Amino acid sequence: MKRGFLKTVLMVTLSTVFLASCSGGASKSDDSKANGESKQSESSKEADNGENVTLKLYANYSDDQEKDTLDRAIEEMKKEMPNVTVEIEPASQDDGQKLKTYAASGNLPDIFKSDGVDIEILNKSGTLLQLDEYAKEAGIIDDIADAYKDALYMSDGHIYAVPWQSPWVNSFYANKKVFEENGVKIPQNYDEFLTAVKTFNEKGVLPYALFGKEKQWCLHLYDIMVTRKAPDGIKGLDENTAKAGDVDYLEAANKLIELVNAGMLSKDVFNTTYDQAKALFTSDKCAMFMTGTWALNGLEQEMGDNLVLMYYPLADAGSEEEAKWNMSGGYSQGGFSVPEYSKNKEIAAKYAVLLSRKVNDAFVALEGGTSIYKDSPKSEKKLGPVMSQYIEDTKNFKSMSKFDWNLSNQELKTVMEDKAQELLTGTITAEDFAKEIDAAIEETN
Amino acid sequence: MKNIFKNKIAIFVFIFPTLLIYTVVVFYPIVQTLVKSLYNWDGINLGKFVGLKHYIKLFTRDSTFRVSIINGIIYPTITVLYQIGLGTVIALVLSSKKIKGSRIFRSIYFIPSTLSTVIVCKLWLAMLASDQSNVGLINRIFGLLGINYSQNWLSSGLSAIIVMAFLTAWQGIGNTILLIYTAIKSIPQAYYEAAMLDGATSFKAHIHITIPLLSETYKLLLILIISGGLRAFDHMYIMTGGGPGNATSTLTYMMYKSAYMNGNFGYACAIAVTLVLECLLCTLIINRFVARERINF
Repeated sequence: MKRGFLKTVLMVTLSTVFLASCSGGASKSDDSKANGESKQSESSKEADNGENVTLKLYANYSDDQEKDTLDRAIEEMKKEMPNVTVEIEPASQDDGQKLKTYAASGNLPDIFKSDGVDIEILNKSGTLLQLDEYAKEAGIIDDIADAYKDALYMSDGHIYAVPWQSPWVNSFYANKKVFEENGVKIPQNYDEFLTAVKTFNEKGVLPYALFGKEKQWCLHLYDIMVTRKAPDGIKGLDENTAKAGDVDYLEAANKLIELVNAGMLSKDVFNTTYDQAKALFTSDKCAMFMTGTWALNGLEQEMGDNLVLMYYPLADAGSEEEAKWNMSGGYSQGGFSVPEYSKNKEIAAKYAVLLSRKVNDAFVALEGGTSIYKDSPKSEKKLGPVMSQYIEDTKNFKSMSKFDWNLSNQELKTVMEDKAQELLTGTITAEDFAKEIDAAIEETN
Repeated sequence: MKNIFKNKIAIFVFIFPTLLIYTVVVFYPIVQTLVKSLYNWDGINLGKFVGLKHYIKLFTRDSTFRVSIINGIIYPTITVLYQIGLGTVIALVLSSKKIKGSRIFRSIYFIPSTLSTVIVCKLWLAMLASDQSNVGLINRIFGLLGINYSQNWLSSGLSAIIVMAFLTAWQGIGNTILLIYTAIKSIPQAYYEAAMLDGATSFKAHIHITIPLLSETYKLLLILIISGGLRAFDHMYIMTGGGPGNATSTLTYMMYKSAYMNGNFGYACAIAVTLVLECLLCTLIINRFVARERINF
């Protein structure tokens, strides 16, 4: 009798929970649809009446540079849309987890920065508002530089985010002082690079600081090597238009192994963080360093004349010029997006589109980066010669691959990161490396 | 009291809230994990039913899974041997009346357990450093002793997993010592006095009295340490990122990568289910073979 009663209590509890969960799941999408419709009409009313509207903005707003840029852009926006106030929520550096959680629970802010793979996932769920008309109305489509037009459109040919900054690339830096003190020539091609690595090693100087704890930088190094001959680099693998077993890709892997065996990297490379690697380079304990060009300005301020920007001195002797402008890195779809269910989606969409342009302008003016628009504002910042040269050089860029975080095939990306790190241990052959990656390409396509 | 047990409403009032919380917080997520492991699910969209696809991939084609399972054997084995083996010896020594200042030693041994995992990992990363520009304490000691054993401890999978298991054990041994020490202190002195009268040495007394009577404590420790070892994540995350490559991956780390880096929550759920089953299996084996009978003093 007692057992029967306990069974009943247990069954009631379990049934309640299961029924609750089932009904909750079903009603969520209906609710959001219904809310979307009612909210749209509310939004239109507010827009028509010119009432004050407060929008939530999820954007990069942590360091001084990000704050200054966004503050200036928002100040400019007050002239364009004076009835709109924004509440900023600083974006977390968490691989988009917070954003995905917001999306899963239907709580995305009115405007949010979306990039990389997140935007693909969010778009699949039908969460993103199409911004084609808003971008056209704001003149974005006409004004954006032709080279960056592709960055506007996603694979379905529509705009879901408007970018705010020009693409960066991976870059190699040399410490002139370390090279001079050790009597080593700054390399221009692969042979000279290998010689430099060997010479520095013999002299007890670390040749190259890689922050290998972040696996994507191991993959970027591989990408740089590949793009000397195959301009698509890891983008080709991501898009399944190339195989890691292709001749150029295999050659790149073999060259990396050769460099590793020659002592290019620190023994602690896989425990080295960005700050540690940068400190080694800027404190003259290391000859070369790699990071994105977003760090160029800061490095130049810190190192002055000692900083040399190198365009990947890893091509074969004689083909340096041919490969020089095959850039590693590049852009992906991303920028400011608006959720379909935003209470103020009309206003948010207009604001997001205009804000992205204002952020671009503010960044160019304050930081001296390159603009993605044909008419770019003048920089207020006095740029160093290396940065100025880089801005000039961007006009020569012939091709771009992709940054690791912009790859669309996430599972392949993880395998490539793991294998690239393993490749840099020098414990696997280029053939095994290629075999594993090609198997992953097959598995995930 | 008897009346209360007969009163079904009273039973319901006492049981239902706890049962409801348990069901919602523990049971329901486990069932959901099991269900979602049968779906291709990115954590945002609804997901598509794929049956046992994830499990088939996991057991037949995923090389990281094999590495994780092997690491899941090595890691707990080392922590169990170190923590229980050395922990027993230290607890026995500390419980001896001949040892002066045992209270101070007890505190000293417990210090690592009070440190956060991040601090322990950073501390050991600095001690294990091997680059010529920054040689860590461990390699420096080998150098000073003239022993040619300096190496990059975290560069190969096997040495990295052994090192991380060792430092997990180093950090956790304080708790183990405390549990064993408390258990030793609860053994009645009369047993030892009787053994001494029969001519037993201290060593023999510990072998024949202390160790057998600690079996229930060992059972608890085995379950805690082994399941902790199988669920190892934080040391890998902080020290090696599961690398080089995937050499120090564990099932928990795989689960994290699958869900939060690949956005493949369905596959992560399949790994989670496998991990739960693995932990359950170990617990069942321990319950079956260790301390089957309850000891009453």
